[in-house]
Amino acid sequence: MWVPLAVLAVLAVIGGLVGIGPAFRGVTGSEHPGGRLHIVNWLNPIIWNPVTREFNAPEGAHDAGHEAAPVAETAAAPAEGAAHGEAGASVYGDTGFNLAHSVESSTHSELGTEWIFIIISLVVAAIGILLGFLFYVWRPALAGIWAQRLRPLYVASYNKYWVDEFYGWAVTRRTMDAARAVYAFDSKLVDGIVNGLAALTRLFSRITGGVDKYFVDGLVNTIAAFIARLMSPLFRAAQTGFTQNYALVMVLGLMVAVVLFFVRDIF
Amino acid sequence: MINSYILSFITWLPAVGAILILALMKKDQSSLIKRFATAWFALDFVLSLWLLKYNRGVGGMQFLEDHEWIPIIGARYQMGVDGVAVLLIVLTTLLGAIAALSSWEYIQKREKEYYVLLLLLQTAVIGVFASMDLFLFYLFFEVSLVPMYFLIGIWGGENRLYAAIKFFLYTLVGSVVMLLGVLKMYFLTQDTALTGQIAPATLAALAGNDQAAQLVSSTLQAAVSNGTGTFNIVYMQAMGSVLQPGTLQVLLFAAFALGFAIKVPMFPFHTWLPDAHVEAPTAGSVILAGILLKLGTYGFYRFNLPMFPWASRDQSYFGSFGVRSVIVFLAIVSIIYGALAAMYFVVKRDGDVKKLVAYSSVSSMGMVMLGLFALNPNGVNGGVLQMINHGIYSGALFLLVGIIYERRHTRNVAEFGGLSHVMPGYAAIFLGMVMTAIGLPLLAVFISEFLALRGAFEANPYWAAWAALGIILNAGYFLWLYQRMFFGTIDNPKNERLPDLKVREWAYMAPLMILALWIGVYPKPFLEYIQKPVNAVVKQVRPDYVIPGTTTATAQPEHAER
Repeated sequence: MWVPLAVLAVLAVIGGLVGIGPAFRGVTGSEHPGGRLHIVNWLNPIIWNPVTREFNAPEGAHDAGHEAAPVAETAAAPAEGAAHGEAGASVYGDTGFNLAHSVESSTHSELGTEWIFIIISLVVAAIGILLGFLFYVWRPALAGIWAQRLRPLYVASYNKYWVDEFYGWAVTRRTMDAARAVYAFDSKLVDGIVNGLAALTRLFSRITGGVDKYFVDGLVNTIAAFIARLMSPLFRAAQTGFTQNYALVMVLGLMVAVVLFFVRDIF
Repeated sequence: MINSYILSFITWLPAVGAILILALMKKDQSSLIKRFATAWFALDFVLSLWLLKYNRGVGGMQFLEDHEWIPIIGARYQMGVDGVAVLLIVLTTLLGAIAALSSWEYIQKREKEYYVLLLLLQTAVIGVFASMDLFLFYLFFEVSLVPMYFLIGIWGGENRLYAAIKFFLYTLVGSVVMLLGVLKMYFLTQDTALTGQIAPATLAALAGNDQAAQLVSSTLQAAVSNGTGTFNIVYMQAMGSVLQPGTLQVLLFAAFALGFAIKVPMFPFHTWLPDAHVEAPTAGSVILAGILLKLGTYGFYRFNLPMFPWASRDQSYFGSFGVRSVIVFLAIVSIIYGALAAMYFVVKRDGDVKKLVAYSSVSSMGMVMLGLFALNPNGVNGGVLQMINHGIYSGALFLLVGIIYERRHTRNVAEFGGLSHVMPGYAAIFLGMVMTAIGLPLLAVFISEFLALRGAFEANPYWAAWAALGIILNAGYFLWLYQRMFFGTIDNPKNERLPDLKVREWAYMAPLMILALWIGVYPKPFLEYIQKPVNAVVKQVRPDYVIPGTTTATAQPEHAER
């Protein structure tokens, strides 16, 4: 397990040496013993500068914060108060508090600022390493003793501050509840409306069918029956069975037709 | 030369195949019918690849066809496609071939009718994308419902009759309301006071190229000389630029929107989808999810946006909110609601996988709608590309569900578990498609979702924020589903001896996976097809939006001579 860590440590050392700044210019004599980190400018073509309103940061923009007079290549004129001016000023306008700038304006020395930060991070790392050695190499019993003395803190740390459990309760379980609620809403209410409309349509269909069958058709049948009741005695009377009667009616009809035919001509 | 009839050929070839099957093959020749139908679909796909010769640099409507049809109402048989329609048609033919191939062992009874209906459905759907005449569009739009109804109702699952009739009536209601809008638009084309204001520049911009503009003007002249209106879609789009802002435009927008919103489907008109998708046979689900849903969003892109530009961008008609606000609200609700409802089927111990995928479609199409109504090139490009991508991954997921259903005859998640041990190939493809569905970068959906969200962000950052929540939920339930189905140990003894994907199954899953990767890694060719038409639509909806890469036309519009 320590092999990957060892590899990473070696790579971290190498990575840290890349781009190491002017604080170590004594080593090789050049301004940038670790090489210039051009990669910090790689994304410039897509970074929008709201001050100059264009893409592509001005040349050397990233160095403008650290290097003042010695570096003469800063082409663009940043907004008032460049490098060692007011806090927050940069080629991108006011970017807020910048610890490096404020340390530099108090010490008035770039090299000093660099060394201050180097020392601070080294000290912090050293403290951590020494503490580690102390608790787990020189005095192994200390770990158990302190765990007992600060039991609540120890339990909280051991359980990773219960963040996972809280997240599970607050977010995961609630989302699952939301999922259940949404599905219930969808299948009962929204779909219920759709099916309700269907039931309504079926109801209307039954009503219409009933109206049609009993009212409209009923009307038709009533009228038909009425007419039949009126006319059937008359029709029955005309069916004498006596052929001469039928012949008489035919001749009378023919006479009426002929008269009508001639009468129409007069009109 | 070929260009002047290739669209009709591609559209009607499946119908010819259906007639051939009906006339020449007997119902017990199922093997012959299957192979013939699949080969016929494949032939149609190969033919549709000709459409990829669409001139992306010029844009506009190409492959134009124009014939007399119903002179008395001015409806002509006009076909034409722009880049968006080209991509959709190729997707349709590809999914058709894949659907036919996937049905070989799924469908055991009445194969003849099944493949005939599948072919007829294909004709209808391609016709929708290819038509340049609103009457023809509406005809194909309606016709596509009938074969689908039969496919669900005869070869579907347990609740198929309910699902089939629900699907049919629900979408029909929408279309019928849309018909009112169609009629009103038709009568407006006869209103010379209105149409006299159309600038030739607008018409040219919407037609995209000279030939199309020429066709539209000659159609118009024919209509005028016959005393009828015209149903030409490009002409109606141009009319959109002179339609009065106000109630009429809002009502027309709503009429068309209802028809399309039910098909998309947008919340709250989506409840036909879970039933129809779950009860349909695999191939039916593939066509339903992969293509029929796109009819709705295509309708929004082709009709609602250009024909009613003021209504599309309006955000104040109802006081503090407008038409666009309503649509975007419904889209965002669809995204989140669809995702949560889908999640229910992994929250539930024994959820139905197919229903999960169905609800995930609601969520995806919400993203399409959000992209479209962001009303900027990024958003609309993203929305259109998402249509294509959703067709790919949704079709693939339904096919995968169909594969496991064929083996186990269940879609219950609780029945699965540890499947990756016995079916590694299946697990791999399923993983690929789940990752596509989630929107993993290097896969198709990332490109389209990113574009849509970028466009939505530009319109209103809150919209993008809410939509992004939907993406997270999508990831949640898909990953959970995958874990429940494939990882872990095999608890159920029935899962111990399942065969992995057969050659036929690889044959139809591979193209979809390859496409998903291709669009995800190198979307440029696909985006190039849709860029110019999308720019034209955005220009129509928001004339004063500066589209990077185009010049803003400052020519004074002259009134069209009548």
